[in-house]
Amino acid sequence: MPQKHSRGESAVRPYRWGLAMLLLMFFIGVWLLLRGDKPDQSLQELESRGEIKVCMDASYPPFEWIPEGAPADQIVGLDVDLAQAIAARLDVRATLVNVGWDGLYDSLLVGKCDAIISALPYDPTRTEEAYFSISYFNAGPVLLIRAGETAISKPQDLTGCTLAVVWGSAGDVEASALQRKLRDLSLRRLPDPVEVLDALRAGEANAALIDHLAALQAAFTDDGLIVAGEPLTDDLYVIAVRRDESALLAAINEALVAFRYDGTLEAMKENWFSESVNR
Amino acid sequence: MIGGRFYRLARLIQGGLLALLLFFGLRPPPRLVTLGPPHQVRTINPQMGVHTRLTDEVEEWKIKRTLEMVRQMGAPWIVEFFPWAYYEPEKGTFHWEHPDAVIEHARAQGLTVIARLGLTPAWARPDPAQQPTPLTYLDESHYDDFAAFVAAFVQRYRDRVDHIIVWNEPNLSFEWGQRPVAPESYVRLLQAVYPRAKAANPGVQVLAGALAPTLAPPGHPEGMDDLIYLQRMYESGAANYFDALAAHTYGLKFPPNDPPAADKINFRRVELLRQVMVANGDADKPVYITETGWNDHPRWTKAVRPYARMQYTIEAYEMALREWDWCPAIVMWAFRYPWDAKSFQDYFTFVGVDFHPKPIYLEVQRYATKTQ
Repeated sequence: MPQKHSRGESAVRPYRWGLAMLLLMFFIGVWLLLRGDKPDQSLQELESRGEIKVCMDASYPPFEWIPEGAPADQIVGLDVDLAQAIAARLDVRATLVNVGWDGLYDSLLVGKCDAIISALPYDPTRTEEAYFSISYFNAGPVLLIRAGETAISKPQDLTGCTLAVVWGSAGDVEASALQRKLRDLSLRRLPDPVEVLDALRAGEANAALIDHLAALQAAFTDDGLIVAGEPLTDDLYVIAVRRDESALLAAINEALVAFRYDGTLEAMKENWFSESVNR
Repeated sequence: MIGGRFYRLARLIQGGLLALLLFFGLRPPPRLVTLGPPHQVRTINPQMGVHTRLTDEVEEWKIKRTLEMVRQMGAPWIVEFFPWAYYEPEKGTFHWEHPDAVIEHARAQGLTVIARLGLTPAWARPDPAQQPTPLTYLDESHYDDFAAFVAAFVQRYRDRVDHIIVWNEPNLSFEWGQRPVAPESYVRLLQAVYPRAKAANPGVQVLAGALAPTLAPPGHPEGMDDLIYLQRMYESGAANYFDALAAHTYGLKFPPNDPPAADKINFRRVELLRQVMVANGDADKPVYITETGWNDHPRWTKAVRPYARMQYTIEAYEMALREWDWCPAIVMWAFRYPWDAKSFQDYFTFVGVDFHPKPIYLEVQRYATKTQ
C-alpha cells in the first residue's frame, strides 16, 4: 500500500494543528473583548447599593395596593411581602417604586428599578427586553365546587350540570367555549362575583368557573367551598428583570424555589387571599 | 432504440413538471383577503368611536374582521396608532404596507380614521450603549425628522386620513421618554410638525395633546396635571399650531354625569380642558375625546362592575351627542387587543382576542342601531 504521507510530514501535522487552534482561540478572545460584553454585575451592584428597587402598579389587591386613606407610599400586598423576602435573601433592602401599569417595562429599561413584581403576567412579546422568572402564581380560571361534591373534578365532568359565571368575565368566555364542547352544560350568568358564589352555595349551580385568585379567596374564607383541579388555562405571574441580568434572575429563581418548598409562598397566599379586600 | 425514445419522453415529462412547479411556485400568491364592497356605518350617534389596536396585528383577515365589527357595532370613528418606529426603520426608507391595509379596510367599512403618530425609531434615539431610552424618547434635535415622517404620512393618505394626533400623552413622563415633562418643548414639536403637515395636506386637522388625565403637580416625577399643562402650552404659543385638542378622559369609578373638579379625575374633566381653551381664545376649536371608557376587572382598584361599565359607556356616548357640540368624536379605549394582556387591561375591551363579542359590545350595538 502506498503511504499517503511521509513519516516526516505526519510528525509536523499535529504541531500545525495546535498552532492553528491557538490562533483561532486568540482571535475569538480578541473578538469577545472587542464586542464589549460586560460581565453581569447585577448582583454586585445591588449589594453595593444595599437595595433592590422593585417597580409595581399599586392598584391591584391583594397583590399590591394602597389601602384607602393610607399615605401614598404605604403599599401592601403579597407582592410587597415577596419583594421583601427576596431582598432579605439577597441581604439588601427592598425599595418599592409605584409606577402605572403602562410604564412598568420602560421603567425597568431606563433603570428606575431592578425588577418588576406586580402580578405581572408572562409576556412572550417582551422577551427581547426582559428576562422572566419562574412563575409564583397561576391566575387562570378554575372550577370552584361545594365541599363534598365528588362527581366534579375536571371540566369534562360538567355534562348535564349548571355552571355559574360572572357575566362578561374571562370565566364567561371560557365557559362558553366549554358549552360548545360538552353536551347539556347550562350557564348561569350573574352580574356579580358575590352572586356567583351565593348561587353555588345555594345549590343553584353545580360549580362556578372563576379566576384562581377569586376561587382561593372563596375557599380560604368559606369551608363549604373547595377548588377543583388545576386552572383550565395558564395565566402565570412572574418577575421581570432587565435582559442580560442573568445573575439577578438566577438569584430570584432560587428564592422562588426555596419559598415554594419551605412554605413561605403558601403562607403569603393564605395571609393575603383569606382577607376580604374591599376595592 | 426504444429505450432511447422512452428516455427522451421521460425527460420531457420531467422538464414539463419542473416548469409547472416553477410557474405555480414563483407566481405571486393570490390575495386571500379582499376589501369587499364599500359599507356605511348605521348608527343613531355619529360621534361614537373606538380605539382599535391593529398596530401589532399581522394577519390581514383580523384587521378586516376588527373593522367590520366596529362598523356593525355602530361606531363611525376609530383612532389607530401608526408608529414612526415601525414605518421608517431607516431614515428615509418607508414601509407603508401595514398602514395601507388598515386604512383601506377602514375606508371600505365606512370608518373615519384618526391617526395617532409617535414612537421614535432607533436611528433617531441615542446609542443604547451610552444611554438606554424607550421608544417614547424624542429629543429636540430630531423634531424635524419626526415632522418629515408626519409630512410623508399625511401626503400618502391625503383625502383618506384627515385627522392626525401629534404624539401621545406628552404630559406623562412615561410617554415623554421617561424624562420630566416639558410643555414648552412639546409646543416646539407642534411648531415643527404643523407647517409640514399642512403643506402636505392643507385639509388635515392637526390634533394636539392627547393629554392624559392626571393630578400630578408641576415637578412631579410622573407627569403634570393636564389642565396646567394645557395652560402652559398656550403660554408657550401653541394656539397657532393645532386645529383641535385631543383629550383622554377616563371615568374610573365615577358615572359619566359626575361633576368635574380640578382635583378629580372623571369623565367630565374634559369640560375643564375646554374651559382652558375658551379662556385662551380658542372656543372655536373642537375637542376630540380620543381615549375614554370604564374598566370592569373584578379587582382593579379603578374598575366598576360589568353592568355599570355598559351603562356608563352608553350614557357617555349619549352625553356627548346631547350636550357637547364641541366634541365631534368620543372614542372608547379599546375595541380589541391582538393578544390577551392577562391583566386588568383586558377588561377595557369590547371584543375578545378570538372576536367573541363581550356583553358590552352587544349592548352598545343595541343602543347604536335601535331606531334604524
